[in-house]
Amino acid sequence: VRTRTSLLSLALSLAVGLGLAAAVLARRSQSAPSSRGTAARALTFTSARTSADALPPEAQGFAVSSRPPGVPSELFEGAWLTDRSRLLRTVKGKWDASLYVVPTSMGRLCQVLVVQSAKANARSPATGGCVRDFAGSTPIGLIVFDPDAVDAGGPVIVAGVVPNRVVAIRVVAHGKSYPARIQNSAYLYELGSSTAYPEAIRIIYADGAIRTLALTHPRPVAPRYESQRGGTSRRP
Amino acid sequence: MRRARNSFLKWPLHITLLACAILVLLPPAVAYAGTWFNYAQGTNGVGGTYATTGYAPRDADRVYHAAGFWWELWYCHTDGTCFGDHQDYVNPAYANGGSSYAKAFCHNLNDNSGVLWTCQTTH
Repeated sequence: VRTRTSLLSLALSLAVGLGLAAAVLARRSQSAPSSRGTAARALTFTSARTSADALPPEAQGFAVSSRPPGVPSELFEGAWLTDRSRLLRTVKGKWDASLYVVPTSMGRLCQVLVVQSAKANARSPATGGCVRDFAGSTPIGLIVFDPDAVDAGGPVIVAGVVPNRVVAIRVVAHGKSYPARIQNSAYLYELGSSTAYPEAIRIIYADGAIRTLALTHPRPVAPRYESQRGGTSRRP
Repeated sequence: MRRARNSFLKWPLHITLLACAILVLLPPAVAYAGTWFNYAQGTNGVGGTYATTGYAPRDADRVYHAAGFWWELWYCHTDGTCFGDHQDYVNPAYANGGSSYAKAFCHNLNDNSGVLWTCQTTH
């Protein structure tokens, strides 16, 4: 009798524990309906998804399945639907760079830029971010990424996904404007030298309208980072 | 089998209770567990730079913030060299640190939206 009671207690405990875990996971996956985006609908594909469209292992760490604790629901991008990822662009220059997109359960579109040095087998750095609706203050996806040390090594890469109404992207550096080719609703541009840094991105629309996104940040250098080490605590 | 059954019969009551407690508490603890943690959170504070208190292997660094405002993410090694600088205005913005042993940083370039921002990384 005691054996049966003990086994019953253990089974009951396990059931309660699993029930609590399910409640925790359900609560974490809640998200506000108002935070739905439309960017994922802006891209349609005529070809079937292939193995080349799968997110590489280096980028898998980005994918979230539930809202992180402490993040407001209106900022949560939704669960990443990694089984629907697509490879949009690949450019081989000083970097071997590939741009992927992943839709989310909240209708947003997350970009993942995977970069590997053309002459090294080191693990690829990657970067990215999620576009909500290609409207207002975020008219295009835009990643400005320097994979290695600033002002050294390889050049900066500018990349992102664009809606269909965008016909051209130009990258402004050293006062000159350079065309970034759009293909598969995406652009991926590697600057000419490791010391160049984009000053602005110019968006050209099908109706002839032009919008410029200024990059006002002064070019970062390593000592600036370390000099602020003492002042990097949590804000009040 | 018979031997195991006999051993189980000899369990003291407090061991059984302990096993029950573990079975109740472990699953939700696992559900809560994650490699991500918040290392800075706030509103406004343009120009502020925030970092983890220590170094660790980092899978990624990200910031949740109001879309349309610029943030910068990067990592620094123990020798002071920094890498992986990423500027972005979409939300969230991600930077990946690969398998390096690094300190993760986030920097508010112009976010005066008044919306709560959260810098997160893994360890």
